[in-house]
Amino acid sequence: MSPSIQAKRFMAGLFPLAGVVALLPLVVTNPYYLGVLNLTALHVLAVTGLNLLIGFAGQISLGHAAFFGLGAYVSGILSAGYGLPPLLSLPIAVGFVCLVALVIGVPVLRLSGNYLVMATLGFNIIVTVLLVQMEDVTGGSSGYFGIPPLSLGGLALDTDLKFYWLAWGLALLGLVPARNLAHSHVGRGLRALHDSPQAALACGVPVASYKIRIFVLSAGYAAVAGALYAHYFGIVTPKTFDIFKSVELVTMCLVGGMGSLWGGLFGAAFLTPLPQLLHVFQEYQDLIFGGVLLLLLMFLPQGLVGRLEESLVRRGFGGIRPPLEETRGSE
Amino acid sequence: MSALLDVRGLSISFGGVAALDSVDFAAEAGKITALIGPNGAGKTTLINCVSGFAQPDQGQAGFGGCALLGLPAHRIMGLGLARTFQHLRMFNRMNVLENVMVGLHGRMRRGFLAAMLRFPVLRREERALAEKAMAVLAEVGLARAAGKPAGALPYGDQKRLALARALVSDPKMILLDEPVAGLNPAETRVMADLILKVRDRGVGLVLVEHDMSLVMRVSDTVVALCSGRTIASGTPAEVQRHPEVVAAYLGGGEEFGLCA
Ligand SMILES: Nc1ncnc2c1ncn2[C@@H]1O[C@H](COP(=O)(O)OP(=O)(O)O)[C@@H](O)[C@H]1O
Ligand SMILES: [Mg+2]
Repeated sequence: MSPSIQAKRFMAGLFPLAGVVALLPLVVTNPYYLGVLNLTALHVLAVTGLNLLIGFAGQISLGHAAFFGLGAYVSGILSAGYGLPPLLSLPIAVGFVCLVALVIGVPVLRLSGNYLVMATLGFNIIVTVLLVQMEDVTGGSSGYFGIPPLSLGGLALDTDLKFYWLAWGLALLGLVPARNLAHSHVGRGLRALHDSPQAALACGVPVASYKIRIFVLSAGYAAVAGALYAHYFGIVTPKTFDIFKSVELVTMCLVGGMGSLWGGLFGAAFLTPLPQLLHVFQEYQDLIFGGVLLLLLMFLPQGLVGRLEESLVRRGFGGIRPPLEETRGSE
Repeated sequence: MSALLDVRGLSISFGGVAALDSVDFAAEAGKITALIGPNGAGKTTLINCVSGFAQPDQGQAGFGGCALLGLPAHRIMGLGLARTFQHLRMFNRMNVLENVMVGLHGRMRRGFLAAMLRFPVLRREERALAEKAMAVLAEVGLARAAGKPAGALPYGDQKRLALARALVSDPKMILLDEPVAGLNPAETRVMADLILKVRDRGVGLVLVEHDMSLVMRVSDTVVALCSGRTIASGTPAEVQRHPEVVAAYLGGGEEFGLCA
């Protein structure tokens, strides 16, 4: 299958989805539900990045809520506290988070083995503690208030619906470069180092640098989602970005399926509303997400949607996952 | 004129035990240089040191005039020195064609940004990559398996896939770590023919093997290693007659036994 056909197939999947996204506000007008949909879009964005890291490169991070949170706090504080327009504070926050990810990633990712899980987990805990302790800057455990909404050329995105268009627009747009990367030689290199770092090296894949780059990129996705979160809700609290949030993001990633970008999208779309809509679920949220993650890792490492999608791809439907049995030489 | 691959005084020890003890080794372009020796002799370790997978304590290694030691493995591959592994190390989640395409990774000059933005030039490069990989698959007789998951191939086919993955980048030399281990006689013959074909193309080969009849048949030079030291080197006939090598062949079996 030639790359251009793959691209067409991806678009074939993206357009109906964009259609659904465009029509949903006609049905969903309740601001609470719109809010849930908006949060879903932000999760989609973060999970897309995380999926590149976990599903393609096989590096598990349990610290992405910290990147999400740092994005939120930095953009929030810069805009509310220092008067920067959100359109400027957002990219600064993302740049800052990428830098932080680089500083953590360089020493950790050079080691082989799963040190990344431990290091990112520790990092997340430290960030949560700092957000609570640095009360003067962050507002402590009660959170940071009064973050202004984003505005695009004078148009303030101050309603749920206006933010809906931006959040979902970016969530869908964010899939495109991720998908391009996944289908490129770089994506192949990432999957190669997942299967065998030694063989990947022997093939000329710069394994250490690829791992660092994909880690930083995925942190960047989380930071964009986080900054958007801050400007949407107007308030950020440390609890929102603790390790359980990281577990939640990884679970969304894995429910959808390792290395399937569509899967990540469905994982986020499926798991975001659950705690918001079911109160039983809300109480035991952390326990349930932890349990689901454990079960998935043990019994269904491919993920639910990953399974489904594989059979769809086999039947000729498009997918974002690089096709396993589909690639043919262009003879 | 010095050899394409030139190793001098290579020493490395693991936990105080010397795996290589001041080993000299040379392999020429367009020739097959066999590296033999009993299990644990240090053959794989020598390959690892030369290909950037292990850092020796002492010694030098040059490839076409380029100092190898200290270079990261992916750069060494870029110099035209490819390798295979004793244990297959296939990319099992990818299909056969993609496995070979990864072998061309070192050729790709564009990085993350170009890939994310889907530069048009990448599309052309990708097509050329797939074509080149298909050609090499055809050469090793795996063209029809191109779309299959690599892990689903029979062991013998995976061995040839490993060769294809190393071969596809048009290296100047390939280090083959036990390419026929575990193959039946028919598969071994096919592999031997492939190895000779690659040699005839001017590619240098370092052949680590236990199959002595194969080694004697195809090699231009044989180096015998024992407990991390070179005990003999020369033509296959010379090495075969060497007293220390003879002594190592307890009972004259096909494989090396213990060495002194
Ligand atoms: N990474 C390593 N760590 C510890 N010991 C090693 C390592 N690699 C090789 N060795 C030791 O070095 C010696 C040579 O091993 P190796 O090169 O694999 O032998 P061969 O390939 O000739 O069978 C063995 O004693 C082996 O146990
Ligand atoms: Mg060995």
